[in-house]
Amino acid sequence: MIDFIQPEIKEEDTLVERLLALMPGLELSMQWRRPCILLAAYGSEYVRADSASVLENHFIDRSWKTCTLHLSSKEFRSTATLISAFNQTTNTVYFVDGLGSLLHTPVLLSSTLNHLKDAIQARGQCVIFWLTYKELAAVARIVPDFWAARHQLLDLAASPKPEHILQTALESAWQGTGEYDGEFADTEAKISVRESFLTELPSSAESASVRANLMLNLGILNWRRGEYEKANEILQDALKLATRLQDNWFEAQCFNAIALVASSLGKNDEAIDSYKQAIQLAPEQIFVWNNLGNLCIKINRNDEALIAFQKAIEHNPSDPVAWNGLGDVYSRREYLDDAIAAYRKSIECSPLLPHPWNGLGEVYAGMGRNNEAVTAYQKAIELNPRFVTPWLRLAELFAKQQRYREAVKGYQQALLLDPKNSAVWSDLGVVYLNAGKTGDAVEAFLKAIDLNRGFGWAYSNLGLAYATDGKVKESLAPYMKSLELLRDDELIKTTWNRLANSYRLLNEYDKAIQAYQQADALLAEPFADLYPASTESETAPPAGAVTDPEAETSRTVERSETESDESSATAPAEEAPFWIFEPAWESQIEHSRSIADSITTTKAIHSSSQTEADTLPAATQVALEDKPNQEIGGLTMQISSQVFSKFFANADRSLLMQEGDDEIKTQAEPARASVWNEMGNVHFLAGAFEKAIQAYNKALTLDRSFGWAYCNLGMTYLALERYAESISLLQKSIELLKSNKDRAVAWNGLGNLYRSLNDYDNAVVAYQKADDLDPGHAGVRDEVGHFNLVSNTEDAQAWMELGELFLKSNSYREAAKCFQKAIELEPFNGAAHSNLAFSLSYQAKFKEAVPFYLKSIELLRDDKEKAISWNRLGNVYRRLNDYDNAIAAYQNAVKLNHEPMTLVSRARFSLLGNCRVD
Amino acid sequence: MNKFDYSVATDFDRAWLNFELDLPLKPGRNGEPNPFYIDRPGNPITELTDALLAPFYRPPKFFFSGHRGCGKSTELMHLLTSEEIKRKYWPINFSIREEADVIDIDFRDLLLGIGGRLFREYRRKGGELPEQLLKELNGWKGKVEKNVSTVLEGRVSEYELGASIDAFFASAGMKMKLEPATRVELRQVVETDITGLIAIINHIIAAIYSRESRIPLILIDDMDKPDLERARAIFHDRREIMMQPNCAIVYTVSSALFYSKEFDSIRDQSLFLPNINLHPAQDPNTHISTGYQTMERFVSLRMDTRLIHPSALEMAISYSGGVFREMARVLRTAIGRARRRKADQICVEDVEWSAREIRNEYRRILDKEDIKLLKKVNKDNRLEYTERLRPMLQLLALLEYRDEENWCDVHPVLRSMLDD
Repeated sequence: MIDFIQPEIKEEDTLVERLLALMPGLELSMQWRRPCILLAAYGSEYVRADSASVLENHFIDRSWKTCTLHLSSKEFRSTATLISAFNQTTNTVYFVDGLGSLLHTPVLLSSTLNHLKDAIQARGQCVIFWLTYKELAAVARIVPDFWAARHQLLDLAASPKPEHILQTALESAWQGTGEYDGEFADTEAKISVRESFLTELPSSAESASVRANLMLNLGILNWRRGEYEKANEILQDALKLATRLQDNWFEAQCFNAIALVASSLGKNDEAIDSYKQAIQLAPEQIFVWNNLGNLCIKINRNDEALIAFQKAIEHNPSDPVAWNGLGDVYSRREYLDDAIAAYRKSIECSPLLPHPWNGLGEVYAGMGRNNEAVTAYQKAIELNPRFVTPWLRLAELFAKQQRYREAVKGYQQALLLDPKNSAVWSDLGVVYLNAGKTGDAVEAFLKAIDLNRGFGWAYSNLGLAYATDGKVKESLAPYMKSLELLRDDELIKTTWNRLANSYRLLNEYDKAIQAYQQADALLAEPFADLYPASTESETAPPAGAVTDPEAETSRTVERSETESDESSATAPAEEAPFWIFEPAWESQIEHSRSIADSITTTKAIHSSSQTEADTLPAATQVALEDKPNQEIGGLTMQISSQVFSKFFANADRSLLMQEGDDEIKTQAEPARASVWNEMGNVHFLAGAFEKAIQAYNKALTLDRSFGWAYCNLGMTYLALERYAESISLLQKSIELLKSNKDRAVAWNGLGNLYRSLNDYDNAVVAYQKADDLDPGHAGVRDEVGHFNLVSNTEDAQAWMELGELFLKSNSYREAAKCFQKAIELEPFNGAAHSNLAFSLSYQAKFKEAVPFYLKSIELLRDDKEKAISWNRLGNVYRRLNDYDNAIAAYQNAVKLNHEPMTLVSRARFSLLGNCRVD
Repeated sequence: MNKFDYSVATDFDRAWLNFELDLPLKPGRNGEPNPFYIDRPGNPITELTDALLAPFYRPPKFFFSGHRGCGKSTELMHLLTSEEIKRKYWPINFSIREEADVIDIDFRDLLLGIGGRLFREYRRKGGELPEQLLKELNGWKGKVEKNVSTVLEGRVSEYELGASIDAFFASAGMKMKLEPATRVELRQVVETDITGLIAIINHIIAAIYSRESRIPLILIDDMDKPDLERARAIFHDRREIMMQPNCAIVYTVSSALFYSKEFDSIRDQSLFLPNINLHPAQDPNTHISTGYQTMERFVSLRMDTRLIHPSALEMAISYSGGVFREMARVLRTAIGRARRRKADQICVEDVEWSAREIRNEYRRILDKEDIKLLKKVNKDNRLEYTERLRPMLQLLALLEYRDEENWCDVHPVLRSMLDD
C-alpha cells in the first residue's frame, strides 16, 4: 500500500472553488486553441462524478462540448483509433478515463500516453485525464514525460457527500458489512479512528487478528465512501492476514468484502469468484448467498439470483434479506403474487426492515392496487425516513393519481435527502405543471437545469411550462437550448414538435413548418417509436439511488403510465407459469401491453395535458397537447386519440336513442357501426393497423355516413403511409362531420398528411383551416371518454373479441362488461366465464372471480384450458391468502397440463410450502 | 491550432499563453532566430556549431545530451538559424516521435525514420530527385510492400513515382509509430536487407548533396526519450550501423546514457546542455548571478517585467531550479492566481501559491521512501545514476546540475516538504 503524504490546505478550500479555478486557464486555452493537459486525481468515485458534473455544467454555460473517451474500451486498443477519436477541432473538452486498465502493460501505457500527449500538443486540444491517486502515482513513474507535460494537477481531495454514501449503502443493501445496521453517518470519523488504532497497534504477531479485523473494517468503510481502489488494497492485505490466521469464517468475510468492491468497480466476474470462494470457506454464512443473489439481480442474472436466495433460505428459512431478494427477483419477472408472498415473508421475519415494504409498494403500484402501495411505501418511510426510494415511488404514485399536492410533498422529501438530484427536480416540475402551477414548475425545471446544465429534457419541459403559462415567446429559447443539448432522437423530435406548436401559436407558420420538417426528418417510422419516459437515459442521474438498469427500466415504465387507477397495471396480476400452455390471446395481451406501454409511456407532463387542458388558457392548448400520442407522429396521433374519444360522445347519443321503439331499429345499424369503429380504435391503439382497417370498413359498411369512421380509417392509412387512400378518406370525413371542432380535427389530420408528403404549403393551409375552425384547440384535443357498450349486439363472439381487445388495452372494467354480455348471450360459454373472472381479478375483485373460474372449469372441455383456469384460480386463492386451496388448484392445473415444470413453478410451490409451514 | 505570435506580453492573458510549457521555439519563416530564444552562459551549442563547421572526411555524428526540460529542442532548432550551418549543410530537424514509437524503438525504426524523413522533407521543400533514383527507391519499396501488405494502403499514386514513394514513407512511418503488429513485420523485412536500407538512405543523401551542393544535416530530437536499455541497444550495440548514413547527424541522447559506461567510447563526440546553475552545490543560499540573469531574460522576452514584482520574479527563478519548463510552470500558475484576483502585478504571494500548488502535485506521487531519498540528496547533493535515483530525476523531483562535477539537488519547490 502506498503511503502518500497529505496535501497542504489550499486557498480554494471547497471542491467547487477548486474546479472553478480551472476555468480561466481552460478558457484561454480554448480561445487560443492551445493545448491543455489536466490531470484530475481523485479518491472517491462519488467525488469524481460530482466534479465531472460541475465541470460539464460550466462547459455547457460556455457552449463547450464534452467528449468522454474510455481507454478501457476495446475500440481504443489501437492507438491509431484512439488518436483519431480526438477529432473535434473546436470548443470541446475531452474527458479521458480508464488509464488503470493499462497499468498492467506499462509499455502500452507509455506508448499510448506519449502518442496522446503529442497529438494533444500538436492539435491544441484540452483534455482532462481522470485518474485515481494510485493510477496517478503509477502513471507519473511509468510515463514521466507525460507527468512533465501536465499543465496542472487537479487534486479532488474531498469527502463524498453523506447523502451519496447513505443512499448507495441503503440501496445496495448488502449484508455482512453492517449495511443493515442503519448507521451510515460519520464514515470519516470511523475511518480516522481505525487508522489511528492500526498505527498504534503493536507489531507483534499477537496483534495479527486485531489488525486483520481493523483492516476489514477499514476496507468496508472505504468501499462505502467510494474509495474502491484503496478499499481493495486494504482488503487484500486483510485477506493475507486472514489466510495466515487460518480462520475460515474471517477469510470468507474478507472475500465477501472484496466481492463488494469488485462489484462496485464493475468487475462482476471477479466479484462472483470471490463470493464463491467465500461460500466454499464458510457455506453456512448466509449473507454471502444473499450478496451473490443481489449481485446476480444487478447484472440481470435472475435465475442465478433465485438459486442464491433459495440457498440462503435453505440455511435459514427466516432470513429476511433472502426473502426480500426473492421478492425482487419475482417482481422483476413480474410474478407479482410470488413477489408479494416473498416480501410479506421478509416482513414477517424482520418487521423493521424497510426494503420489503418498498418492494411491496412497487408491486402493488404495478398492479394498480394503489392504496395498498401507498400504505407500503409509507411503512417503508416510517421505518427509515432517510430511505429515498419510497419517497420517490410514493410521489410518482400520487402524481399518477393526480394527487398533486401529495406528489409534490413526496418529491420535496426526496429532495431533502438528495437535494442535488436534477432528475427529481425535473419530476417535481412535471407534477407542478400537471397541477397547473406553472410558476413552480418553471422554478423546478430551472433548478434541475442549474444542477445539470446538460439536462436537455429539462430545458424542453421548461419551454413547455412557459408555453403553458401563456409565455409562448419565452418558450422558444429553452426549446432551442434543449435541441442543442439533447442526443436522443425521440426527445429531439418531441422538442421540435413543441417548438413548432409554439410557432403556430405565434402565427409564425414558416418557422412552424421548418420545425415540423426537422421533427419529420427524425421520423423514421411514424407510429413505431416509443416515447422515453425519463431523461435518465440522457445526462441526468437517476432520481433514485438504485442504479440497476433493469430496475430503472421497470420504474420508468411504471412512472409513466396513464392515470387510470384500475386499468394501468404494468404487469398482469396473474400470469400462468411457463409450464401452462398459454392461449394465443393471452400472449397477445402481453404483446399488446408492451405496445400499450410504449404508447402510454411518457412523462406525467403529457398526461397533464390531457387532464388539465380545459383549465388552461386556450392559447397554450397546442403546446400542452404534446402527449405521447402526439410525440409519435407530430400532431397526427393526437388527432387519432381525440377521434376515438370523439366517437364516444356520438355513441352515447346513439345509445340513448336505441331504447325500445321503432327509432331503435333505425339506429341499430349506426350503433353497431360504432362498436366496429371502437374495435378499430382498440386495434389501432394496439398497433394492429390492418385489423383496425377491417373494423373501420365494417363500421362504414354498416353506416356510410359515419364521419368518424372515415376519419379514423384515414388516420390509419396515414399511419401506414398509404397517403392516397388517407387523403380521400379525410376529405370525405370533412364532408360528413358536423361540427367545426370535429372538422378541425380532420383538417389537422390533413395538415399532418401534407407534412408527411413534404407538401408544406398545403400543410399550412390545412393547419390554418383547423385553427380557424377551432381557435381554442387548433384541431388538437383530448377528452378521455368512457366506453359504453352497445346493448343490442347479439353476437357473443363479437363481445368476446371486444372484451379481449379491452383486456389488451388494460381496460379491465370494460372488458368485464363485454364478457358479462357474452355470458348473457351464451350462458354455457366456459371461456367467457374464465375471461370474466380474469378481468375481475385484474380489478382486485378476487372473491367475485372465484365462482366464475369454478363455473368455467365446469364448462370447459379442453384439459389445457381447464388447466389455465385452475392455475388462475390458484393465483386468486393466493391473493386471498387461502394457500391450501391455492396449492390444490395448482396441483389440478399440473394434473391437467402435460408440460414439464420450470424452476419458477417449483420455486412457487416451495414458497407456498414455506408459507404454510410457518 | 492557432499560429503562435511570439510577442512580449503586456497583460496576463497573453503572458499566460507565452508561458506554455512545451512551446516550440521554431525559427522564423526566413530562418531568423525565434524571438523567445535566449542564449545562455557557456552554451555548448557554440561548441557543437564549431564542431559541425570543422572539416571532415566522413560526415560527423554528434550526441547532444542534457537534463530534462533544459532546452535541448530549443537549442537544436536554434542551430538551424545559423547562417554558417546553412551555408555548409542542408539541415532538417525532426522529432523521432513523429516517425516511431519512442517506447518501443530500435535501430531499424530509426534508420527508416531517417530515410523517410529525408526524402519527404526534400520533396516538401521543392527538391526533385533524379528519375533513376526514384525507380530504385520504387524497387525497394515494392520489395517491402510485397512482404508488408498493410503499408500498401499509403500508396496514393500509380503514376507519379515521387508522390508514391512519399506516401509510402509517410504510411510506413505512421504505422511504425502506431501499429505494433506492422512494426514487427517491417522490422523483419528491414532486418533481412539492412544494407539495402542504408544504401537507399545514402542514395537519397547523395542526390540531395549533388543537387544542393550542401550535405544533409539531420537533427533528431527526442532520442533521449527511449529508456536506457533501448538507447544502449541503438547507440552502443548498433553503433557501427548508426554511423553509416553519409550525412551529418546530431542525435539527442538522455543524460542517463550520456553518463553510462557504454557511452565512454563516443563521449568525445558528445555535448551536454546542463540546467542553469542558480547556486553552487550544497549552498542554496548563494545566488549565481549569471544564472538568475539568464532566467530573467527568459521571462523578459515573454512578458513585460512590469507585470511581476522584482522580488516575486526572484522567488520564481529560485523555485524554477534553473529549468526553463519549470520556470514556465511556476509563472503560469502564479499568473493564473494574479489574474483571478484581478491584480496588475504578480506578487510574492502568487509565486508562493504557485509553489505550493506544484508541491501538492508531487505529494500525490511521492511516497515516504521517496521523501527519505530526497532528504538525503538535499543534504549531500550527490548524483548517482542508480535505479532508486533515476525515477526521481525523471519526475524532476531531483534536478541535475553540472559545474566542475555533476551534482543534483531537490526541486526547490519541494524543499519545504522535506521539513514536514
